[in-house]
Amino acid sequence: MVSRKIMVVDDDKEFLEELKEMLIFSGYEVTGINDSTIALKVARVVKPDVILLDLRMRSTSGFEIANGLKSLIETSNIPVIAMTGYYTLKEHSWLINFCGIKRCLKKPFNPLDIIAEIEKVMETA
Amino acid sequence: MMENESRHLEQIFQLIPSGLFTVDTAQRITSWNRRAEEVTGYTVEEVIGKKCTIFTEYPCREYCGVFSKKIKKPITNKECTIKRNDGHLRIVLKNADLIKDENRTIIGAIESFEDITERKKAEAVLKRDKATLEMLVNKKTKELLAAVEKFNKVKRLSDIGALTAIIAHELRNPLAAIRTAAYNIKRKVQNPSLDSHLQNIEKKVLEADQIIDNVLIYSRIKPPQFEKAKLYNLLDECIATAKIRFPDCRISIRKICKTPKECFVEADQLQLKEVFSNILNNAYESFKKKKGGITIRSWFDKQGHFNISFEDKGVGIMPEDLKRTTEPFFTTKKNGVGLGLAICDQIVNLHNGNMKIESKVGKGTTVTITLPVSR
Repeated sequence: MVSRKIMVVDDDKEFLEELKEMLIFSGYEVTGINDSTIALKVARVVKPDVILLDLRMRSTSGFEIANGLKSLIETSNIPVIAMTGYYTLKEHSWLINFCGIKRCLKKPFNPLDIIAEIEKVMETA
Repeated sequence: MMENESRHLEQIFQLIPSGLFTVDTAQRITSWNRRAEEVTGYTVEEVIGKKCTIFTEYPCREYCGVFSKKIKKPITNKECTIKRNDGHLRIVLKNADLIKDENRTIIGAIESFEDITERKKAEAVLKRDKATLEMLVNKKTKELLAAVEKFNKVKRLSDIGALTAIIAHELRNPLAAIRTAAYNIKRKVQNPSLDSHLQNIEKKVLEADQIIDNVLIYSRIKPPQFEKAKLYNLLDECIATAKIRFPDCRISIRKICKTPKECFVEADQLQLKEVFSNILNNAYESFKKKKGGITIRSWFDKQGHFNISFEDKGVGIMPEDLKRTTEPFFTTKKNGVGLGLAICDQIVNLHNGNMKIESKVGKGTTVTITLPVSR
């Protein structure tokens, strides 16, 4: 089985490390992006199967990235799962939908939940 | 010619709108005009030849300055009191001067006066009004200052609220890293002797997350979004969640509902869910031995308000703690932030409802919520 490519964008370095490790351990091929300003460029090159995206980041926000991904032909079909400790699903659902974000997980989530989400969006993709 | 002039003078004397009279050197009145009659009530016949002290009061009666050499003439704008023939006192403003003959010998005096009683009264009222007005302005200023103070306090609190929300959110990022790291350690090390420690990390992360949730809810309580809320459905959801939350508790829940199953209340569903969940959590946690029973009752009171009560037979609340239960950040729990009942109280108040907590140590606690059916 071809391992699935996951791209993780989060400006929390330690969290990114741990999540990357966890996903690799679970059999995924993982690209971790700590600097959100290069996320779009990397996504175009790597063409991951799923993107895990932190929404609130110091430079380019997750919403901007998701919107950028949506507007590029080569990335518009990549499912995006948002991870956030900041935005609430209820209050920001319109923004999340607007940016084409498929799912949203609230930090601190159970690592097993994120794998379930990844599998779910890839099934439907 | 002379006769003409004196007639003119007489005319002026009578028509001038001030009281006017003359006296001789013995202060006996020699002439008296119409206005003087009006002001004093004495007719010309009554006063001619009489001493002017017949109507003068303080200070003119005690001391008449007209014939005093020490006082400069003419005397102008001097205030004094007179007594009318009906006994009423009037305040007058007078001018007075000596009358001399062609040899500059003093032959008498002339005095004019105006009744200023009404004016004095008006001035007094004005003065009193001014004082009243000043008092009112002072009072209003004080109220305004108090309002500004209150506003500043509320603003400070809302700033604190906003800051709290940011901090609470930001804490979730490190928690996410800790939780994932613990998961990675467990998978990598595969050492059962570490399991209990890792479980503790996981447990504490979840506790911290729960605290963040509560702080956020409290800092974010907004005016309710009223809709027709079916309370039974809400209640069942909350009971189900509580059972999942406390898997190792053996608690039986009894519902005694005297309200129809389909009845609804105009309320914010999410907020009421928060209220029910918090009260149920407290009830669950009140059983030290993790077993017991909770009774939920519902009824309409005489005013037609919806009432729901949650009764547990748990540890109860100490009397001195009972009145503080709804204070934010007051808690007797080891792992609590003390916001649960503060949130409930706020939400119920926003619904124009009422929350009553009755408790006896060792006997249990009953929380009753009263809600108006419609806004």
